[in-house]
Amino acid sequence: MLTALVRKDLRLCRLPLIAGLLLLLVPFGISALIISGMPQWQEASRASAWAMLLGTGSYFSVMCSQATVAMLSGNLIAAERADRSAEFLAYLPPSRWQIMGSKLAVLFGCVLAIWAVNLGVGLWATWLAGDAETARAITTGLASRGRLAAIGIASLGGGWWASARLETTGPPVALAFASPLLVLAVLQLAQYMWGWPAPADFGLMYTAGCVLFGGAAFLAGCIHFLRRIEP
Amino acid sequence: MNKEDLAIDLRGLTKRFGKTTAVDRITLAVPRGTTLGLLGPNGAGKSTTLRMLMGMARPTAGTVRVLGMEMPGLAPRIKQRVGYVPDTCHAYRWMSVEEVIRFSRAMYASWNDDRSAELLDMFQLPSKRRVRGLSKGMLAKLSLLIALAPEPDLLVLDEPLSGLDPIARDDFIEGVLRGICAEARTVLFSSHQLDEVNRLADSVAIMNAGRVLVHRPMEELLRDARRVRAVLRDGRLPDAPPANTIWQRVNRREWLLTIHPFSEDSVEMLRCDNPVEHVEVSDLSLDEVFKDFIRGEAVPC
Repeated sequence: MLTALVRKDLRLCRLPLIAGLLLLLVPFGISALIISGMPQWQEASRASAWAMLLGTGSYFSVMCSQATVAMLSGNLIAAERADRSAEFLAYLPPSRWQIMGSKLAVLFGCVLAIWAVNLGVGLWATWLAGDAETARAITTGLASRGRLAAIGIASLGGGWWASARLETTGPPVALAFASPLLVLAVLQLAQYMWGWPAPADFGLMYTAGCVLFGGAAFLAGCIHFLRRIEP
Repeated sequence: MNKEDLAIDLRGLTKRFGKTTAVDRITLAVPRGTTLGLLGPNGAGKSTTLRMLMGMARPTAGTVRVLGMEMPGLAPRIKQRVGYVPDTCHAYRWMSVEEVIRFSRAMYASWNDDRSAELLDMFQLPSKRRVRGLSKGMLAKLSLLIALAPEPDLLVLDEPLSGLDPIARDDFIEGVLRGICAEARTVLFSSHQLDEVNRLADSVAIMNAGRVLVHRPMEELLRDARRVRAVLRDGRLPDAPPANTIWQRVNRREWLLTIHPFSEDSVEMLRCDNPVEHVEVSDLSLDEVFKDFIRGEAVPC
């Protein structure tokens, strides 16, 4: 049963998944085009040139893949309501847990694939880098992905929550894109009004805020989806 | 009747949408192995009732028990044993007929491949065609196939034949539904096609404005309902209709009444309490009984 549900969800989100694949791979091409025009490219050894290309490409790819997470989380539940196929599924025997399990398998499978590809490529780039300076630059890039992950969590949570509540896909996807900006705006407002968080802590607080917001919204979306009786 | 003998047991079932009451304190019991026809005009609350029965809408008040289990709490377990045909099939539009069947098959433990193949052949459904390319009639047939192939204990049909042309409808009633209704399983179907109900149902429930007006075995309903035609004395109007009058109309000297349940006492009362010259009593068809119940609701006696 779960296999059939996962297959159906993969087909249901075909467009976001195709877009996601493009967003995963195209940044490497764009990075290659940009980097090949830079003087460092001409001067670097073959291995460190590849390391530079792959390191930059993977960082760029993770950034772009936030859009995939936003589109997917906003689509997974709401798309079935939008075309009313949720009604068809509602009178078949699978429980809400099974339906949600299949959607989460697709969502987290996709997130896992994005990060596995990019971290893998990033690590490969570090290994390829002949000189210590390039390797250090790539490692620093890898380390800074924590914040990108937090932004992704905020996107995923916001999109998932809205998708669980609404009947069209547009607003959930929009909210998924807007969620990290929303957290940023709230923190900036707090800083302006009460001087908190301190400028030195702002980055850390933003990361924590994104994770908290995303986690809470994701949980609220799950609870709403499981408790809701109507398709 | 024992609770376990009931396939469907609705008690005080109510559904409100804001200030509108779609279903108003319905109590309905359907014994296992019987066929109930749920009749009612558009907006009577039939579909909402069936949706609550299927665990697809939360009742505002009241309880739903299906095959002895509480809905919607045990919905996944119950749905393995219930086939449902909605008024419109919303199967995934991008799937082909074959894919919808394969997908549905994966959901049921009791799916019968032979039955599915037999129905596919009988309905002449194009298995390679996508759902978006199917006509309304074909969609209705696909819905029926998905509901029947798991060989459910209870079949719930929400206006199942509304998309079919008269020939396909007749073929379907004779070829499929009559056979299913004759089997030991329970069937509940809503319709406003009185002919279907007359041909298939053991008992009838008539709904209007969210309430069940009457729920009786078909034979009993038709036996107990009578049309009374009374001729009034010149220049006189009726004083009091007899008890159990569900509908009446006065046209010059002719006074028509529908009485349910009818007894000989009703005629005696009519003669005693009203200036009538002559009284005739005749049988009613299901069509007339249904219409008189609904009209009587609109203009209470």
